[in-house]
Amino acid sequence: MLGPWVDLLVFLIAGLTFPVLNVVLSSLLRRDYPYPEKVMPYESGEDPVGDARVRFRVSYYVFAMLFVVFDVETVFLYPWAVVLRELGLFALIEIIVFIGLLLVGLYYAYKKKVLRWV
Amino acid sequence: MNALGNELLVILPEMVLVAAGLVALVWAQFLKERAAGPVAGLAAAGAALALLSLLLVPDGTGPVLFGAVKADGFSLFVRAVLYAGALVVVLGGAGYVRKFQVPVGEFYCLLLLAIAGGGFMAQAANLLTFYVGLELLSLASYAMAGLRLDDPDSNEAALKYFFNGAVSSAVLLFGLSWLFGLTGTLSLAELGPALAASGAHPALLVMAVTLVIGGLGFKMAAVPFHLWVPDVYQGAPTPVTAFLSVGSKGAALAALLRLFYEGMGPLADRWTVYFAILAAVTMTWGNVSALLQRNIKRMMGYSSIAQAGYLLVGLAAGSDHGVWAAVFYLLAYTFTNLGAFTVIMAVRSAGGGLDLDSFSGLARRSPFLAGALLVFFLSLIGFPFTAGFFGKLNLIGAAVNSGLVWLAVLTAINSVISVGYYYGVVRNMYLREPGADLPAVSLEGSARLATAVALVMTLAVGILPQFVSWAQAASLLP
Repeated sequence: MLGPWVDLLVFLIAGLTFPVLNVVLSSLLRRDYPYPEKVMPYESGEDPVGDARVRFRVSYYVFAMLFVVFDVETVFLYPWAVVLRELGLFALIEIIVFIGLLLVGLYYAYKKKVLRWV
Repeated sequence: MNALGNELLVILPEMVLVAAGLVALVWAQFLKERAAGPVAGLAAAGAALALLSLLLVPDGTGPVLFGAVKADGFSLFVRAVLYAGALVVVLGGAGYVRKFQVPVGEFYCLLLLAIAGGGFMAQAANLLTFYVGLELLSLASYAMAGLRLDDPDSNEAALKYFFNGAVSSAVLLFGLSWLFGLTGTLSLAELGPALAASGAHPALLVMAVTLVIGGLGFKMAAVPFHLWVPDVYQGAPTPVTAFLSVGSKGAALAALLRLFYEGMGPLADRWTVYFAILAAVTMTWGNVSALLQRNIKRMMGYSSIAQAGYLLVGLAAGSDHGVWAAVFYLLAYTFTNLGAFTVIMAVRSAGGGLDLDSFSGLARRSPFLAGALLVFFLSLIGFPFTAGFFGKLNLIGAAVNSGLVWLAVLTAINSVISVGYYYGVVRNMYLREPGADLPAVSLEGSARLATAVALVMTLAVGILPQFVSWAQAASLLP
Protein backbone atom coordinates (compact mmCIF):
# COMPACT_ATOMS: atom_id res chain seq x y z
CA MET A 1 0.00 0.00 0.00
CA LEU A 2 2.79 2.38 0.90
CA GLY A 3 4.95 1.46 -2.08
CA PRO A 4 8.29 3.29 -2.02
CA TRP A 5 7.60 4.53 1.49
CA VAL A 6 8.58 1.11 2.79
CA ASP A 7 12.17 2.34 2.41
CA LEU A 8 11.45 5.10 4.87
CA LEU A 9 9.95 2.64 7.33
CA VAL A 10 12.98 0.38 7.05
CA PHE A 11 15.28 3.35 7.52
CA LEU A 12 13.30 4.44 10.58
CA ILE A 13 13.46 0.99 12.17
CA ALA A 14 17.13 0.56 11.33
CA GLY A 15 17.91 4.02 12.70
CA LEU A 16 16.24 3.20 15.99
CA THR A 17 17.60 -0.33 16.27
CA PHE A 18 21.25 0.46 15.59
CA PRO A 19 22.04 2.64 18.63
CA VAL A 20 19.86 0.58 20.99
CA LEU A 21 21.46 -2.63 19.81
CA ASN A 22 24.95 -1.15 20.23
CA VAL A 23 24.36 -0.08 23.80
CA VAL A 24 22.70 -3.35 24.80
CA LEU A 25 25.30 -5.55 23.10
CA SER A 26 28.27 -3.70 24.51
CA SER A 27 26.80 -3.80 28.00
CA LEU A 28 26.43 -7.57 27.63
CA LEU A 29 29.92 -8.13 26.28
CA ARG A 30 32.07 -5.78 28.36
CA ARG A 31 33.44 -6.27 31.85
CA ASP A 32 31.72 -4.18 34.49
CA TYR A 33 34.64 -2.54 36.27
CA PRO A 34 34.00 1.06 37.27
CA TYR A 35 36.79 2.92 39.06
CA PRO A 36 36.83 6.63 40.04
CA GLU A 37 38.88 7.89 37.09
CA LYS A 38 36.65 6.02 34.68
CA VAL A 39 33.31 7.35 35.92
CA MET A 40 34.67 10.87 36.08
CA PRO A 41 33.12 13.26 33.48
CA TYR A 42 35.34 13.55 30.43
CA GLU A 43 36.71 17.04 29.96
CA SER A 44 39.28 16.85 27.20
CA GLY A 45 41.73 14.99 29.42
CA GLU A 46 41.61 17.63 32.16
CA ASP A 47 40.68 16.90 35.77
CA PRO A 48 37.20 18.28 36.22
CA VAL A 49 37.47 20.77 39.09
CA GLY A 50 34.46 21.97 41.02
CA ASP A 51 30.88 22.39 39.97
CA ALA A 52 30.04 22.45 36.28
CA ARG A 53 27.42 25.13 36.85
CA VAL A 54 29.78 28.09 36.99
CA ARG A 55 29.98 31.22 34.92
CA PHE A 56 32.37 30.86 32.04
CA ARG A 57 33.76 33.34 29.59
CA VAL A 58 31.15 34.38 27.11
CA SER A 59 33.85 35.51 24.67
CA TYR A 60 34.13 31.98 23.34
CA TYR A 61 30.59 32.16 22.09
CA VAL A 62 31.18 35.32 20.10
CA PHE A 63 34.25 33.79 18.46
CA ALA A 64 32.31 30.63 17.71
CA MET A 65 29.54 32.67 16.11
CA LEU A 66 31.93 34.67 13.93
CA PHE A 67 33.72 31.49 13.02
CA VAL A 68 30.52 29.87 11.79
CA VAL A 69 29.78 32.86 9.58
CA PHE A 70 33.15 32.79 7.87
CA ASP A 71 33.18 29.03 7.76
CA VAL A 72 29.97 29.10 5.74
CA GLU A 73 31.46 31.81 3.56
CA THR A 74 34.39 29.55 2.71
CA VAL A 75 32.09 26.66 1.94
CA PHE A 76 30.11 28.91 -0.37
CA LEU A 77 33.19 30.33 -2.09
CA TYR A 78 34.48 26.96 -3.26
CA PRO A 79 31.54 26.01 -5.54
CA TRP A 80 31.43 29.63 -6.67
CA ALA A 81 35.05 29.52 -7.76
CA VAL A 82 34.42 26.32 -9.72
CA VAL A 83 31.58 27.74 -11.83
CA LEU A 84 32.83 31.35 -12.01
CA ARG A 85 33.93 31.08 -15.66
CA GLU A 86 30.50 29.88 -16.80
CA LEU A 87 28.48 32.43 -14.83
CA GLY A 88 30.72 35.39 -15.62
CA LEU A 89 30.33 38.93 -14.40
CA PHE A 90 27.01 38.37 -12.65
CA ALA A 91 28.51 35.78 -10.30
CA LEU A 92 31.40 38.13 -9.51
CA ILE A 93 29.02 40.94 -8.55
CA GLU A 94 26.90 38.49 -6.54
CA ILE A 95 29.87 37.30 -4.51
CA ILE A 96 31.05 40.86 -3.89
CA VAL A 97 27.60 41.68 -2.52
CA PHE A 98 27.70 38.54 -0.39
CA ILE A 99 31.14 39.29 1.05
CA GLY A 100 30.15 42.92 1.49
CA LEU A 101 27.22 41.88 3.67
CA LEU A 102 29.55 39.74 5.80
CA LEU A 103 32.05 42.60 6.06
CA VAL A 104 29.33 44.81 7.53
CA GLY A 105 28.88 42.13 10.18
CA LEU A 106 32.62 41.95 10.83
CA TYR A 107 32.85 45.72 11.04
CA TYR A 108 29.98 45.72 13.54
CA ALA A 109 31.73 43.07 15.64
CA TYR A 110 34.93 45.13 15.52
CA LYS A 111 33.12 48.31 16.58
CA LYS A 112 31.46 46.45 19.44
CA LYS A 113 34.96 45.37 20.56
CA VAL A 114 34.08 41.69 20.61
CA LEU A 115 37.29 40.89 18.72
CA ARG A 116 39.41 42.16 21.59
CA TRP A 117 40.43 39.44 24.03
CA VAL A 118 39.91 40.78 27.53
CA MET B 1 22.19 41.48 -18.46
CA ASN B 2 19.34 43.78 -19.32
CA ALA B 3 16.78 41.01 -18.83
CA LEU B 4 18.43 40.27 -15.51
CA GLY B 5 18.19 43.95 -14.60
CA ASN B 6 14.46 43.78 -15.21
CA GLU B 7 14.21 40.69 -13.06
CA LEU B 8 16.13 42.37 -10.26
CA LEU B 9 13.58 45.19 -10.33
CA VAL B 10 11.13 42.73 -8.77
CA ILE B 11 13.15 42.62 -5.57
CA LEU B 12 14.20 46.28 -5.68
CA PRO B 13 12.08 47.16 -2.59
CA GLU B 14 13.80 44.44 -0.56
CA MET B 15 17.23 45.59 -1.77
CA VAL B 16 16.37 49.09 -0.60
CA LEU B 17 15.29 47.76 2.80
CA VAL B 18 18.42 45.66 3.31
CA ALA B 19 20.71 48.48 2.18
CA ALA B 20 18.98 50.97 4.48
CA GLY B 21 19.19 48.49 7.35
CA LEU B 22 22.92 47.90 6.92
CA VAL B 23 23.67 51.61 6.57
CA ALA B 24 21.60 52.24 9.70
CA LEU B 25 23.67 49.66 11.61
CA VAL B 26 27.02 51.13 10.56
CA TRP B 27 25.97 54.77 10.81
CA ALA B 28 24.71 54.28 14.36
CA GLN B 29 28.20 53.09 15.38
CA PHE B 30 29.64 56.40 14.20
CA LEU B 31 27.00 58.64 15.74
CA LYS B 32 26.96 56.78 19.08
CA GLU B 33 24.80 58.74 21.56
CA ARG B 34 23.42 61.09 18.91
CA ALA B 35 22.22 58.20 16.74
CA ALA B 36 18.55 57.99 17.78
CA GLY B 37 17.17 60.84 15.65
CA PRO B 38 19.14 60.57 12.40
CA VAL B 39 19.05 56.78 12.20
CA ALA B 40 15.30 56.73 12.82
CA GLY B 41 15.02 59.22 9.95
CA LEU B 42 17.13 56.97 7.75
CA ALA B 43 15.00 53.92 8.61
CA ALA B 44 11.80 55.83 7.89
CA ALA B 45 13.26 56.99 4.57
CA GLY B 46 14.26 53.41 3.77
CA ALA B 47 10.77 52.06 4.46
CA ALA B 48 9.16 54.92 2.49
CA LEU B 49 11.55 54.38 -0.42
CA ALA B 50 10.81 50.65 -0.43
CA LEU B 51 7.09 51.47 -0.51
CA LEU B 52 7.58 53.86 -3.43
CA SER B 53 9.85 51.47 -5.33
CA LEU B 54 6.97 48.98 -5.42
CA LEU B 55 5.67 51.23 -8.20
CA LEU B 56 8.71 50.29 -10.30
CA VAL B 57 8.10 46.56 -9.92
CA PRO B 58 6.79 45.19 -13.21
CA ASP B 59 3.34 43.85 -12.32
CA GLY B 60 2.27 40.43 -13.45
CA THR B 61 5.78 39.01 -13.80
CA GLY B 62 5.88 35.25 -13.58
CA PRO B 63 8.52 33.46 -11.53
CA VAL B 64 11.84 35.24 -12.10
CA LEU B 65 15.36 35.06 -10.68
CA PHE B 66 15.64 31.34 -11.32
CA GLY B 67 12.06 30.73 -10.22
CA ALA B 68 12.58 32.23 -6.78
CA VAL B 69 10.13 35.14 -6.68
CA LYS B 70 7.10 36.36 -8.53
CA ALA B 71 5.52 39.80 -8.77
CA ASP B 72 1.77 39.39 -8.99
CA GLY B 73 -0.99 41.61 -7.62
CA PHE B 74 -1.02 39.60 -4.42
CA SER B 75 2.65 40.11 -3.61
CA LEU B 76 2.48 43.80 -4.45
CA PHE B 77 -0.54 44.31 -2.20
CA VAL B 78 0.88 42.42 0.78
CA ARG B 79 4.30 44.04 0.43
CA ALA B 80 2.72 47.48 0.27
CA VAL B 81 0.83 46.74 3.49
CA LEU B 82 3.94 45.36 5.20
CA TYR B 83 6.22 48.25 4.21
CA ALA B 84 3.65 50.88 5.09
CA GLY B 85 3.32 49.08 8.42
CA ALA B 86 7.10 49.21 8.93
CA LEU B 87 7.03 52.94 8.22
CA VAL B 88 4.36 53.48 10.88
CA VAL B 89 6.34 51.35 13.38
CA VAL B 90 9.50 53.41 12.77
CA LEU B 91 7.66 56.73 13.12
CA GLY B 92 5.59 55.66 16.10
CA GLY B 93 8.43 53.91 17.90
CA ALA B 94 11.14 56.58 17.57
CA GLY B 95 10.17 58.25 20.83
CA TYR B 96 10.09 54.96 22.70
CA VAL B 97 13.49 53.93 21.32
CA ARG B 98 15.07 57.16 22.55
CA LYS B 99 13.33 57.15 25.92
CA PHE B 100 14.12 53.54 26.85
CA GLN B 101 17.57 53.50 25.21
CA VAL B 102 16.87 50.62 22.88
CA PRO B 103 20.11 50.06 20.90
CA VAL B 104 19.44 52.28 17.89
CA GLY B 105 21.44 50.75 15.04
CA GLU B 106 20.46 47.22 16.00
CA PHE B 107 16.75 48.00 16.30
CA TYR B 108 16.31 49.74 12.95
CA CYS B 109 18.62 47.34 11.12
CA LEU B 110 16.81 44.28 12.42
CA LEU B 111 13.40 45.83 11.80
CA LEU B 112 14.19 46.57 8.15
CA LEU B 113 15.76 43.14 7.61
CA ALA B 114 12.79 41.42 9.24
CA ILE B 115 10.30 43.26 7.05
CA ALA B 116 12.38 42.44 3.96
CA GLY B 117 12.11 38.78 5.00
CA GLY B 118 8.34 39.21 5.23
CA GLY B 119 8.37 40.72 1.75
CA PHE B 120 10.20 37.69 0.39
CA MET B 121 7.61 35.39 1.96
CA ALA B 122 4.83 37.33 0.23
CA GLN B 123 6.44 37.03 -3.23
CA ALA B 124 7.89 33.53 -2.92
CA ALA B 125 7.32 31.31 -5.95
CA ASN B 126 9.34 28.53 -4.45
CA LEU B 127 9.38 26.72 -1.11
CA LEU B 128 13.04 27.60 -0.54
CA THR B 129 12.60 31.36 -1.02
CA PHE B 130 9.66 31.14 1.24
CA TYR B 131 11.62 29.38 4.01
CA VAL B 132 14.66 31.66 3.74
CA GLY B 133 12.36 34.70 3.95
CA LEU B 134 10.73 33.22 7.02
CA GLU B 135 14.10 32.65 8.69
CA LEU B 136 15.23 36.21 7.95
CA LEU B 137 12.03 37.48 9.51
CA SER B 138 12.23 35.10 12.48
CA LEU B 139 15.89 35.49 13.43
CA ALA B 140 15.65 39.26 13.32
CA SER B 141 12.47 39.12 15.41
CA TYR B 142 14.04 36.97 18.13
CA ALA B 143 16.90 39.42 18.54
CA MET B 144 14.55 42.40 18.49
CA ALA B 145 12.45 40.94 21.31
CA GLY B 146 15.53 41.03 23.57
CA LEU B 147 16.81 44.48 22.64
CA ARG B 148 16.19 46.03 26.05
CA LEU B 149 19.32 44.44 27.43
CA ASP B 150 18.84 45.64 31.02
CA ASP B 151 15.24 44.46 31.25
CA PRO B 152 14.80 40.85 32.48
CA ASP B 153 11.32 40.66 30.91
CA SER B 154 12.77 41.53 27.53
CA ASN B 155 15.49 38.88 27.89
CA GLU B 156 12.88 36.32 28.89
CA ALA B 157 10.76 37.28 25.89
CA ALA B 158 13.68 36.82 23.50
CA LEU B 159 14.62 33.45 24.93
CA LYS B 160 11.05 32.12 24.93
CA TYR B 161 10.45 33.39 21.43
CA PHE B 162 13.70 31.88 20.21
CA PHE B 163 13.15 28.41 21.66
CA ASN B 164 9.54 28.21 20.54
CA GLY B 165 10.42 29.67 17.17
CA ALA B 166 13.34 27.33 16.55
CA VAL B 167 11.12 24.32 17.20
CA SER B 168 8.33 25.61 14.98
CA SER B 169 10.76 26.44 12.18
CA ALA B 170 12.01 22.88 12.35
CA VAL B 171 8.43 21.57 12.26
CA LEU B 172 7.65 23.75 9.25
CA LEU B 173 10.78 22.68 7.43
CA PHE B 174 9.94 19.05 8.12
CA GLY B 175 6.48 19.64 6.65
CA LEU B 176 7.97 21.28 3.56
CA SER B 177 10.31 18.32 3.16
CA TRP B 178 7.26 16.04 3.12
CA LEU B 179 5.70 18.16 0.40
CA PHE B 180 8.93 17.95 -1.58
CA GLY B 181 9.10 14.21 -0.98
CA LEU B 182 5.54 13.75 -2.24
CA THR B 183 5.94 15.85 -5.36
CA GLY B 184 9.65 16.18 -6.15
CA THR B 185 9.24 19.90 -6.82
CA LEU B 186 9.91 23.06 -4.83
CA SER B 187 7.99 25.35 -7.18
CA LEU B 188 4.64 26.53 -5.85
CA ALA B 189 3.12 26.53 -9.33
CA GLU B 190 3.96 22.87 -9.89
CA LEU B 191 3.05 21.77 -6.38
CA GLY B 192 -0.72 21.43 -6.89
CA PRO B 193 -0.67 19.47 -10.17
CA ALA B 194 2.17 17.28 -8.89
CA LEU B 195 0.24 16.49 -5.71
CA ALA B 196 -2.90 15.67 -7.66
CA ALA B 197 -0.94 13.48 -10.07
CA SER B 198 1.20 11.73 -7.47
CA GLY B 199 -1.68 9.66 -6.13
CA ALA B 200 0.04 9.61 -2.76
CA HIS B 201 -1.71 8.11 0.21
CA PRO B 202 -4.04 10.74 1.78
CA ALA B 203 -2.44 10.19 5.19
CA LEU B 204 0.88 11.46 3.85
CA LEU B 205 -0.69 14.69 2.66
CA VAL B 206 -2.38 15.09 6.05
CA MET B 207 1.02 14.73 7.69
CA ALA B 208 2.62 17.37 5.46
CA VAL B 209 -0.28 19.82 5.82
CA THR B 210 -0.41 19.40 9.60
CA LEU B 211 3.32 20.10 10.00
CA VAL B 212 3.18 23.16 7.75
CA ILE B 213 0.13 24.56 9.55
CA GLY B 214 1.88 23.94 12.87
CA GLY B 215 4.97 25.86 11.80
CA LEU B 216 3.15 28.82 10.26
CA GLY B 217 0.43 28.81 12.91
CA PHE B 218 3.18 29.69 15.37
CA LYS B 219 4.14 32.77 13.36
CA MET B 220 0.51 33.79 13.00
CA ALA B 221 -0.13 33.17 16.70
CA ALA B 222 -3.02 30.79 16.05
CA VAL B 223 -4.31 28.67 18.94
CA PRO B 224 -2.89 26.12 19.94
CA PHE B 225 0.47 27.49 18.77
CA HIS B 226 0.02 30.77 20.61
CA LEU B 227 1.57 30.02 24.00
CA TRP B 228 4.53 32.33 23.40
CA VAL B 229 2.37 35.34 22.54
CA PRO B 230 1.39 36.84 25.91
CA ASP B 231 4.88 36.68 27.45
CA VAL B 232 6.72 37.82 24.33
CA TYR B 233 4.27 40.64 23.62
CA GLN B 234 4.53 41.82 27.21
CA GLY B 235 8.30 41.53 27.54
CA ALA B 236 9.46 42.79 24.14
CA PRO B 237 10.04 46.54 23.66
CA THR B 238 6.66 47.98 22.62
CA PRO B 239 7.69 48.99 19.05
CA VAL B 240 8.83 45.40 18.57
CA THR B 241 5.51 44.11 19.91
CA ALA B 242 3.75 46.39 17.44
CA PHE B 243 5.87 44.99 14.63
CA LEU B 244 5.32 41.37 15.68
CA SER B 245 1.57 41.87 15.85
CA VAL B 246 1.35 42.93 12.21
CA GLY B 247 4.62 42.10 10.42
CA SER B 248 4.97 38.46 11.43
CA LYS B 249 1.27 37.86 11.21
CA GLY B 250 0.89 39.47 7.80
CA ALA B 251 3.87 37.62 6.34
CA ALA B 252 2.67 34.31 7.78
CA LEU B 253 -0.82 34.90 6.37
CA ALA B 254 0.63 35.67 2.94
CA ALA B 255 2.72 32.51 3.14
CA LEU B 256 -0.28 30.37 4.13
CA LEU B 257 -2.37 31.81 1.31
CA ARG B 258 0.37 31.21 -1.23
CA LEU B 259 1.22 27.75 -0.03
CA PHE B 260 -2.33 26.48 0.34
CA TYR B 261 -4.51 28.48 -2.00
CA GLU B 262 -1.98 28.94 -4.78
CA GLY B 263 0.09 25.80 -4.24
CA MET B 264 -2.61 23.35 -3.21
CA GLY B 265 -5.73 25.05 -4.57
CA PRO B 266 -7.06 21.97 -6.39
CA LEU B 267 -7.04 20.10 -3.09
CA ALA B 268 -8.92 22.85 -1.23
CA ASP B 269 -11.62 20.49 0.00
CA ARG B 270 -8.93 18.52 1.82
CA TRP B 271 -7.44 21.35 3.89
CA THR B 272 -10.14 24.01 4.39
CA VAL B 273 -11.60 22.08 7.31
CA TYR B 274 -8.34 22.47 9.29
CA PHE B 275 -8.43 26.22 8.84
CA ALA B 276 -12.10 26.42 9.76
CA ILE B 277 -11.41 24.67 13.06
CA LEU B 278 -8.21 26.65 13.63
CA ALA B 279 -10.01 29.95 12.95
CA ALA B 280 -12.90 29.09 15.27
CA VAL B 281 -10.68 27.99 18.16
CA THR B 282 -8.20 30.86 17.70
CA MET B 283 -10.69 33.72 17.68
CA THR B 284 -12.72 32.33 20.58
CA TRP B 285 -9.73 31.51 22.76
CA GLY B 286 -8.07 34.85 22.05
CA ASN B 287 -11.13 36.91 22.82
CA VAL B 288 -12.10 35.06 25.99
CA SER B 289 -8.55 35.18 27.36
CA ALA B 290 -8.24 38.88 26.56
CA LEU B 291 -11.20 39.56 28.87
CA LEU B 292 -9.07 38.47 31.84
CA GLN B 293 -5.98 40.62 31.22
CA ARG B 294 -4.89 43.57 33.34
CA ASN B 295 -1.81 44.52 31.30
CA ILE B 296 -2.49 46.38 28.07
CA LYS B 297 0.26 44.59 26.12
CA ARG B 298 -0.98 41.17 27.23
CA MET B 299 -4.50 42.24 26.34
CA MET B 300 -3.36 43.37 22.89
CA GLY B 301 -1.49 40.08 22.60
CA TYR B 302 -4.65 38.05 23.09
CA SER B 303 -6.53 40.52 20.92
CA SER B 304 -4.02 39.88 18.15
CA ILE B 305 -4.55 36.13 18.59
CA ALA B 306 -8.27 36.72 18.04
CA GLN B 307 -7.49 38.82 14.97
CA ALA B 308 -5.38 35.97 13.60
CA GLY B 309 -8.51 33.84 13.95
CA TYR B 310 -10.49 36.30 11.82
CA LEU B 311 -7.75 36.32 9.18
CA LEU B 312 -7.84 32.52 9.01
CA VAL B 313 -11.55 32.64 8.12
CA GLY B 314 -10.45 33.74 4.65
CA LEU B 315 -8.36 30.59 4.28
CA ALA B 316 -11.14 28.44 5.67
CA ALA B 317 -13.40 29.78 2.92
CA GLY B 318 -10.85 28.45 0.43
CA SER B 319 -12.17 30.66 -2.35
CA ASP B 320 -10.98 33.69 -4.27
CA HIS B 321 -13.42 35.74 -2.23
CA GLY B 322 -11.78 34.41 0.93
CA VAL B 323 -8.30 35.33 -0.28
CA TRP B 324 -9.06 38.95 -1.03
CA ALA B 325 -11.18 39.25 2.10
CA ALA B 326 -8.20 38.04 4.15
CA VAL B 327 -5.68 40.43 2.57
CA PHE B 328 -8.18 43.27 2.83
CA TYR B 329 -8.61 42.49 6.51
CA LEU B 330 -4.82 42.44 6.81
CA LEU B 331 -4.72 45.98 5.41
CA ALA B 332 -7.41 47.13 7.84
CA TYR B 333 -5.84 45.32 10.80
CA THR B 334 -2.31 46.56 10.10
CA PHE B 335 -3.12 50.25 10.31
CA THR B 336 -5.64 49.84 13.11
CA ASN B 337 -3.41 47.75 15.34
CA LEU B 338 -0.31 49.85 14.69
CA GLY B 339 -2.33 52.96 15.53
CA ALA B 340 -3.39 51.42 18.83
CA PHE B 341 0.20 50.46 19.63
CA THR B 342 1.43 53.97 18.75
CA VAL B 343 -0.95 55.39 21.34
CA ILE B 344 0.16 52.79 23.91
CA MET B 345 3.80 53.70 23.21
CA ALA B 346 3.05 57.40 23.63
CA VAL B 347 1.40 56.76 27.01
CA ARG B 348 4.32 54.56 28.06
CA SER B 349 6.98 57.02 26.89
CA ALA B 350 5.26 59.77 28.87
CA GLY B 351 6.04 57.77 32.00
CA GLY B 352 2.78 55.86 32.34
CA GLY B 353 2.65 52.16 33.14
CA LEU B 354 1.29 49.35 31.07
CA ASP B 355 -1.58 48.24 33.29
CA LEU B 356 -5.06 49.23 32.24
CA ASP B 357 -5.30 51.82 35.04
CA SER B 358 -2.60 53.89 33.33
CA PHE B 359 -5.22 54.85 30.79
CA SER B 360 -7.48 56.41 33.42
CA GLY B 361 -8.69 59.81 32.30
CA LEU B 362 -6.60 59.80 29.14
CA ALA B 363 -9.39 61.82 27.54
CA ARG B 364 -8.47 64.70 29.88
CA ARG B 365 -4.74 64.25 29.61
CA SER B 366 -4.66 63.99 25.84
CA PRO B 367 -8.00 64.21 24.01
CA PHE B 368 -6.38 63.46 20.63
CA LEU B 369 -4.77 60.22 21.78
CA ALA B 370 -7.89 59.06 23.59
CA GLY B 371 -10.05 59.79 20.56
CA ALA B 372 -7.59 58.02 18.26
CA LEU B 373 -7.44 54.95 20.49
CA LEU B 374 -11.25 54.90 20.60
CA VAL B 375 -11.39 54.82 16.78
CA PHE B 376 -8.75 52.07 16.63
CA PHE B 377 -10.64 49.95 19.14
CA LEU B 378 -13.91 50.49 17.27
CA SER B 379 -12.18 49.30 14.13
CA LEU B 380 -10.77 46.24 15.90
CA ILE B 381 -14.30 45.44 17.08
CA GLY B 382 -15.65 45.98 13.57
CA PHE B 383 -17.79 49.08 14.03
CA PRO B 384 -19.29 50.63 10.84
CA PHE B 385 -17.36 53.44 9.10
CA THR B 386 -14.07 51.95 10.22
CA ALA B 387 -11.71 49.65 8.34
CA GLY B 388 -12.47 46.69 10.57
CA PHE B 389 -16.17 46.74 9.65
CA PHE B 390 -15.66 46.12 5.94
CA GLY B 391 -12.89 43.71 6.76
CA LYS B 392 -15.12 41.53 8.89
CA LEU B 393 -18.08 41.93 6.54
CA ASN B 394 -16.04 40.58 3.63
CA LEU B 395 -14.68 37.69 5.68
CA ILE B 396 -18.14 36.74 6.90
CA GLY B 397 -19.45 37.02 3.33
CA ALA B 398 -16.67 34.75 2.08
CA ALA B 399 -17.43 32.20 4.80
CA VAL B 400 -21.15 32.20 3.97
CA ASN B 401 -20.45 31.85 0.24
CA SER B 402 -18.37 28.78 0.98
CA GLY B 403 -21.15 27.27 3.08
CA LEU B 404 -19.47 27.91 6.44
CA VAL B 405 -22.45 29.61 8.06
CA TRP B 406 -21.47 28.40 11.53
CA LEU B 407 -18.05 30.04 11.18
CA ALA B 408 -19.64 33.29 10.01
CA VAL B 409 -21.96 33.29 13.02
CA LEU B 410 -19.05 32.54 15.35
CA THR B 411 -17.06 35.44 13.88
CA ALA B 412 -19.96 37.80 14.59
CA ILE B 413 -20.35 36.45 18.14
CA ASN B 414 -16.63 36.90 18.73
CA SER B 415 -16.80 40.53 17.66
CA VAL B 416 -19.37 41.05 20.38
CA ILE B 417 -17.19 39.30 22.99
CA SER B 418 -14.27 41.53 22.04
CA VAL B 419 -16.30 44.62 22.97
CA GLY B 420 -15.86 43.51 26.59
CA TYR B 421 -12.13 44.13 26.89
CA TYR B 422 -11.83 47.06 24.51
CA TYR B 423 -14.62 48.78 26.42
CA GLY B 424 -12.67 48.34 29.66
CA VAL B 425 -9.92 50.60 28.31
CA VAL B 426 -12.37 53.08 26.78
CA ARG B 427 -14.20 53.36 30.10
CA ASN B 428 -10.91 54.07 31.86
CA MET B 429 -10.08 56.75 29.31
CA TYR B 430 -13.38 58.58 29.30
CA LEU B 431 -15.26 57.86 32.52
CA ARG B 432 -12.49 57.65 35.14
CA GLU B 433 -10.69 60.60 36.68
CA PRO B 434 -6.99 60.71 35.94
CA GLY B 435 -5.01 59.70 39.01
CA ALA B 436 -2.85 62.42 40.56
CA ASP B 437 0.33 60.55 39.74
CA LEU B 438 -0.44 60.08 36.05
CA PRO B 439 1.55 62.44 33.81
CA ALA B 440 0.15 64.51 30.98
CA VAL B 441 0.83 62.86 27.66
CA SER B 442 2.41 64.92 24.96
CA LEU B 443 3.06 63.52 21.55
CA GLU B 444 6.20 64.21 19.60
CA GLY B 445 6.14 64.99 15.92
CA SER B 446 6.92 61.57 14.48
CA ALA B 447 4.49 59.75 16.77
CA ARG B 448 1.83 62.33 15.96
CA LEU B 449 2.41 61.69 12.28
CA ALA B 450 2.21 57.91 12.80
CA THR B 451 -1.04 58.23 14.74
CA ALA B 452 -2.48 60.54 12.12
CA VAL B 453 -1.52 58.20 9.27
CA ALA B 454 -3.02 55.21 11.07
CA LEU B 455 -6.15 57.19 11.92
CA VAL B 456 -6.65 58.45 8.37
CA MET B 457 -6.08 54.99 6.92
CA THR B 458 -8.41 53.33 9.43
CA LEU B 459 -11.20 55.70 8.45
CA ALA B 460 -10.36 55.84 4.73
CA VAL B 461 -10.27 52.06 4.34
CA GLY B 462 -13.62 51.94 6.11
CA ILE B 463 -15.26 54.58 3.93
CA LEU B 464 -13.65 54.64 0.48
CA PRO B 465 -14.53 51.69 -1.76
CA GLN B 466 -11.26 51.87 -3.74
CA PHE B 467 -9.41 49.77 -1.21
CA VAL B 468 -11.81 46.86 -1.68
CA SER B 469 -11.28 46.82 -5.44
CA TRP B 470 -7.54 47.11 -4.86
CA ALA B 471 -7.67 44.06 -2.60
CA GLN B 472 -9.80 42.24 -5.16
CA ALA B 473 -7.09 42.86 -7.73
CA ALA B 474 -4.69 41.11 -5.35
CA SER B 475 -6.28 37.79 -6.12
CA LEU B 476 -3.98 34.81 -6.38
CA LEU B 477 -5.58 33.35 -9.48
CA PRO B 478 -3.63 34.03 -12.69
